[in-house]
Amino acid sequence: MKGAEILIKALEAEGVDTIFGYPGGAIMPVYDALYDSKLKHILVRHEQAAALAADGYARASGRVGVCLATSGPGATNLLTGIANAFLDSVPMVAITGQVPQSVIGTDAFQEVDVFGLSFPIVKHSFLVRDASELASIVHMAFSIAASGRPGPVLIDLPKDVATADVPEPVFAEPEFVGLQHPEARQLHFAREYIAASARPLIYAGGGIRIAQAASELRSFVEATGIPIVTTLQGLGSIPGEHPLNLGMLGMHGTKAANFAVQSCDLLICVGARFDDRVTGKLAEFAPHARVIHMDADPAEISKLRSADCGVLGDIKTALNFLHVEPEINAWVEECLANKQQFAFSYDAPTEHVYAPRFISRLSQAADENTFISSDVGQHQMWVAQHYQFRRPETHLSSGGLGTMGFGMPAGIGAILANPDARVVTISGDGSIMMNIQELATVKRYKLPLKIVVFDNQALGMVRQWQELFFSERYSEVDLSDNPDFVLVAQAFGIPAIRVEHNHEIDAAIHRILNDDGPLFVHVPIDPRENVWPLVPPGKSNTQMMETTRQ
Amino acid sequence: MRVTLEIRMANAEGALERILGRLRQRCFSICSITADRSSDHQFIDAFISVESSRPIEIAAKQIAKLFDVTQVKVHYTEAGVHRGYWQQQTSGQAEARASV
Repeated sequence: MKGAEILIKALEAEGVDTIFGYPGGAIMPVYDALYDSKLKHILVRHEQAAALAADGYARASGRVGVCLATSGPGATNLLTGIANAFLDSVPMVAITGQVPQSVIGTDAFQEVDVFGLSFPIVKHSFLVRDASELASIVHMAFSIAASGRPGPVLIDLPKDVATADVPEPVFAEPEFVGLQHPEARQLHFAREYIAASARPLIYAGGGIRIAQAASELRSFVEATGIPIVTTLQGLGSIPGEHPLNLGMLGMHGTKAANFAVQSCDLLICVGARFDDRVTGKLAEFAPHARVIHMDADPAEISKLRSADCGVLGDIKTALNFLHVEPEINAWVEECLANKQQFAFSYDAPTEHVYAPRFISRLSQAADENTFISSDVGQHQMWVAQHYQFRRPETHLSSGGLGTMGFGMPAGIGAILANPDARVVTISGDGSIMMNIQELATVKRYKLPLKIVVFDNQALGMVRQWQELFFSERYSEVDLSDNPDFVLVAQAFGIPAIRVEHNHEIDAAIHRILNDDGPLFVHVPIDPRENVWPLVPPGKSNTQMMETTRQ
Repeated sequence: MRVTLEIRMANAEGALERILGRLRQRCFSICSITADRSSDHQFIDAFISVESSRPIEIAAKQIAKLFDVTQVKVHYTEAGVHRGYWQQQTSGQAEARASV
């Protein structure tokens, strides 16, 4: 059996049904084997989109995403998507073609050492030297990608290995290594800390989605009555409308969330990692709190903030063990009063469409089976602030790497993982241009993806920082010569509309949620609109800036 | 602070390079390194002295997570005097390897 055929059979044995890729010279034997396969291959128009779509597929389904590219530029184009998956702990197997082993190391045509390039951004990588090892390598790659703290794994496949003829191997069943049970001693410490706390707060992150522990988290919140804040990746871990949910914390978090963090006496961190966008000035983050840190990754506990109690292992088991009822009525009342007092307002009269109001209306009209993939920038923060997610897997956002261009490929991946779901990509005029070519993928596969582009004719988040922190010296952020996005979408064969007035919002949202096919919605907004509140870089989370513009 | 890491890893392509890269990226400078294959060629044993203002325990855990790494010991030394060590057996990755 040829190496390439073994690869395809091994993918099928792992239960893979969809892969995202782009052919080229060194990967041609694999594409030849794919020709006879039942695997659904999605031809993207740029390899970066293959990796980002595999990422979106994995986030939305909980399964391992798979992407495929050729050697050299195909492989390097994948790297941004691989890094994106690494930073957000997304299970992925990336397969690259490589030049034949006889010319590796000779600067051959389209040769690049992607095996070496991958080291800082993968859980592991394999350079396959022998076709007889390929089946077990694929099996290991899937196990590594999905086990423990998930992440990407690279398989670099030289062309001569793909064409080598070896005896047919045994293909193992898919295997997932479960997490260890948390230590009983640490769990008892955690219970004692919670019982003794007068001002406890839960700080939940992307680990809840990864562990599929939203139900256990909600039970824990409701059994203990402890208020909760979430990270960007933790949105939806507890429903946005839940009474004890104070919203997102951190740089663009809610006032109620940040005030609660700064005044709590016990911070219960569940599947989060004290990222700098969350903590602001680390030394002043949650200054009065003892910390319980629950995580699947031993290297995260006490990495940035020393934990008084580290609970390593399965979050579900830990949460189920911690149903105690502390005496915290006064604290909860304080948190809820702040939540009410500092709630977002959408009633300011605006000449343009106000993006937060649009997103809030979309959130109200959508059901819990609606997935939102956002790009990176101001619109991303508006989605985080104003869309009330009900399930964590329905929010797809590039948190760790902050990859502009993530939104549409991730939306493509999500819709292929969940064909019955509605998927809406929310992007900006900067981000959408990073992977605009994927409109061709949407068209080719007749994907009912809805794409909303908030257009402020600028790189809005950078412009906001230049306004606030660089004396209004607007350097290279002007995008006022953007193309006509409606015409661009139509040129790709995608129906497109423009929403310029507030009274058009509801009709557009109705189409977003009910049209059978794809739809591109171009929404010009006020270029001066900023994201508020904002914790300036290097400041404590109590130092939130708010709008200065009347 | 200067410490010595004693690391056993699989004798696999790129194994040592991954460790050195991770130390560099996590802001540890390497003062000295000795590495050799085990007699059966299954493993590489490396002794790497590093300096950093960052805590070594977290870096050791990050190295222990590497798939090829089977054991990490940290030797706290000062002026050549042995002051004990911190040891980490890899967990999740070792389990993953054992299962396949």
